[in-house]
Amino acid sequence: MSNMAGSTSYLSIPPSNHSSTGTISYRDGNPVVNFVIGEQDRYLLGSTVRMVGNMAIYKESDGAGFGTVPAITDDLNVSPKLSAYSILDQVVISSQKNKSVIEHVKFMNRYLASYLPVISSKEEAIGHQNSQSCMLPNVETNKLGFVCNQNGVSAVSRLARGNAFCIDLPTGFLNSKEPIGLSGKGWGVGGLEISVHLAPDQQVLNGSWTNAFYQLTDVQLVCEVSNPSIERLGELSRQTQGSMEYNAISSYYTTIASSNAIINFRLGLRRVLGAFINFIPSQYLNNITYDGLQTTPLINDLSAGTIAPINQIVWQRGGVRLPKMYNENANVRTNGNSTISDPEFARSFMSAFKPFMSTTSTQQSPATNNRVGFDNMEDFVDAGLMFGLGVDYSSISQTGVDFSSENFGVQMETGLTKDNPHSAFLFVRSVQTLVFNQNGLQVIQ
Amino acid sequence: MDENDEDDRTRIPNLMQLGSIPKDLTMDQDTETLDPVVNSQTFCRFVLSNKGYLHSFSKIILGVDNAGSGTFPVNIGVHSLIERATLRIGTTVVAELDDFNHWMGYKSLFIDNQTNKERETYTTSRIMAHDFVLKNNVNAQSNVNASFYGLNTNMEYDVETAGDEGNLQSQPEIRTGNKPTFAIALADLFPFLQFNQLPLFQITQQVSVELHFTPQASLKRCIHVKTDEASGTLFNIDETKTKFVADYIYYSPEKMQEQAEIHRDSTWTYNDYRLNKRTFTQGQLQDNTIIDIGGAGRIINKVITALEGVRDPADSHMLNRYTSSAPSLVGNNNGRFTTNLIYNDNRLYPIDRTNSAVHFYDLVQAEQNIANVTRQEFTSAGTGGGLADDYTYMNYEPVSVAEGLNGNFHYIAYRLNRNERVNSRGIQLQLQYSTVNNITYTHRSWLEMVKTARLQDGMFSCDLM
Repeated sequence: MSNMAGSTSYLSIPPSNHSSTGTISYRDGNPVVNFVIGEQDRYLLGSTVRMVGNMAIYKESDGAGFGTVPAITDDLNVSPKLSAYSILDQVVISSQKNKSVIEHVKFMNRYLASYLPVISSKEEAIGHQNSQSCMLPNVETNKLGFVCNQNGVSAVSRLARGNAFCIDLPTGFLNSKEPIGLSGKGWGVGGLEISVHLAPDQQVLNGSWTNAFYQLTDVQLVCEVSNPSIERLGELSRQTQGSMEYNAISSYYTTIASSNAIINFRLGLRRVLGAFINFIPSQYLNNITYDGLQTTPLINDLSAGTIAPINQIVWQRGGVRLPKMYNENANVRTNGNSTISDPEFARSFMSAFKPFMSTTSTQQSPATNNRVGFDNMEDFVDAGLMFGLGVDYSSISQTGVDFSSENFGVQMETGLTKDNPHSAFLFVRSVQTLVFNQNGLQVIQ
Repeated sequence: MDENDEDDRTRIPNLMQLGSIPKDLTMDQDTETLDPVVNSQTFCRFVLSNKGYLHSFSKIILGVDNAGSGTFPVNIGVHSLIERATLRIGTTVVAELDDFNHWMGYKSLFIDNQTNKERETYTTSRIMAHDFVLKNNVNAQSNVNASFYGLNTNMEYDVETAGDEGNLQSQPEIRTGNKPTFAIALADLFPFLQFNQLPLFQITQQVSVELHFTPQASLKRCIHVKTDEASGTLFNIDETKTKFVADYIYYSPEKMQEQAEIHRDSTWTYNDYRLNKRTFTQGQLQDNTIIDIGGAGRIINKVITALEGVRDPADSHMLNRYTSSAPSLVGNNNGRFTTNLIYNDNRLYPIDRTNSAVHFYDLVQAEQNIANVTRQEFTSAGTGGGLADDYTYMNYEPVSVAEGLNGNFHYIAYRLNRNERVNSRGIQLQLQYSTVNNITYTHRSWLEMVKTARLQDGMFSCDLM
């Protein structure tokens, strides 16, 4: 390596478990895509990591390794909040050298189904996100432009199939501002192995085509690494250990099916900055008939679309109210006919991602976060319902709240009176410290 | 930043750097409306007063004097009037931007849609903003599901009775017949002013801004309303309205004196752009081509390229000629653009870039800002649920390549990241389009070069690094 202080280099990394056909799909038995960023004397710029490729959606197999692209009249779609992001089920980042897991984000697409619409505007989704993840925040337009994309159907001048995408992997570790040492000599993590677990077709797609599937081609990981100068490399070679801090995302899953819904987890995390929950009728999950990436309010009657209110919520730590020292009562508690989302709930939800006052663009609005009933998978304003509950601890403690020995709890008084269980996905943002030396690494939660 | 934080080691006058204003500093501002000292349909020159600091977002006011409902091109607005901008101090050319109007096609990508709709429509006539067209009632769609998206202005579509067609007229405020004037920020003409402001009071030489206007006969100034108005109108610049609204910033006399003494001999670096332009045929673009674009012996941070499809008449296109063409489709199959940059015997990317989403990502990374352009506008992909066809703007179909937005924002940027001076071989650009339309193309590359400036006893000089 030359003395290129401050220089960076681009990397293009194919999957280490590349299939012989060059195609990757959950249906054909390739549910995990592995990328290895080898051990080297460089720093990875985590925010530059992108998974790229082409994504085609087929309503059925053509028997020749590919499939038949849906016609515009076919009932098949992907969540317009996510498009290409919907394929991300789990992302596991571990050290290449010693295989220790650094971060493991589960239910990634459920996480992004709330995260992306809260932090980006509709205009950003139509523009920037559309060019990167093919997202169009409208059910019908997303279907016509993304799902029914006829690129590659004809063999004449076919260069690729489906939609080109280039998506980031928004984990806390990769999005930390610190460059990630890739060395295994004491000043890095010893290379990285990034495993992307693909989501099942039934979760990604929704419609009436029961054998529909998605398929990836030309998949790569692109990223940028920075090259330390020779002088800096000399200093680093004498470094036998190091550490870095990042905001990790931890994921939890439970179900609720009562008017007194309780969510209780032992997080084991010391510096929790915020948490949010999104819901979906359990029947919608991994069921191609429904959009499994909806973030709906609680629903009493799926066929009639009757919304079950959340009348009250109490956030707790170890059985004590925190951060709010009172029960939060929703507007619907005193006015059962209200279709307006409770503003305090909405504000707390948005604050779980970043401070409410610094959120300058969002898709959250009375049109997308409300209590209006629905009875189909299509008639949603913009990208669909964006309901969730959240709590921000960074406003009471910049260093985060200690949940290592106290349980995290949420108590909700709901109107969920029918036998209709709901899945609740809890995502917790916390500060974690990675400590490493030439013998291995440890994550201090 | 604290007032005492001045760092003599950098030799950069800190009051010249935008943003570095001490919190307890008293500041005063004086605005002067300058008439050009030379003013014609092809050229104008402004001479600035040597006082205070020149505010980088001082404005140049321009307008055209024509009847009718034509407008400036939808993506770059009034910037279409300026072909070249030069900032001179004495006889030294401090900054010069060739094909400034085409350059603004690139820079305008990075303006937020809402900003265009709410502000730029009225200040520069740039109106690029998107929204879904919900009025289309074909297929008995609901009121929330759209088949396509179009421009989002402050006007509503005139919808045909059947509901399957509509047209969006331009806003009256931007029609040339209503004689609007618009403002161009000095920092847009000379990008280094985004980060620095000129200490005019320290400069003893004449400071002038020269604008070379886009020739009338090229029809590259404005666009006409399709079908309702004929092509070929020569849009005159209203010379009576051409002004420079200069804002001068003053601090306390003690502070100004202190700055003048501390920075009697100052040097700093800034970026300037050099244009490389050439013509291509369809056949040349479809071959794997490597072209020299210059930069030998210089420090180059970035290369920005655009491929203008030469379609006549220029004024019969929503974007006029301020486009960058994506590879064209073959039937419904997307085209492919393969590229790399070669300098100092190395390729910038380890594998040639071919994925259109990665091209977009490279653009965003190079500019460190998000481009507000859709997939179909960038690369023609995603047909079907994309740009509107029967819902037009000024009777132009947004989905059309030849008159609309489809595949006409395919600007490509390369960030040279090895922190090296380019050797005597210069930079080579490798490019290949799988398919392009059978017209002539003009390819532009702007090289972002690092220059050093020196202000010594009131005399200004600059040199390329």
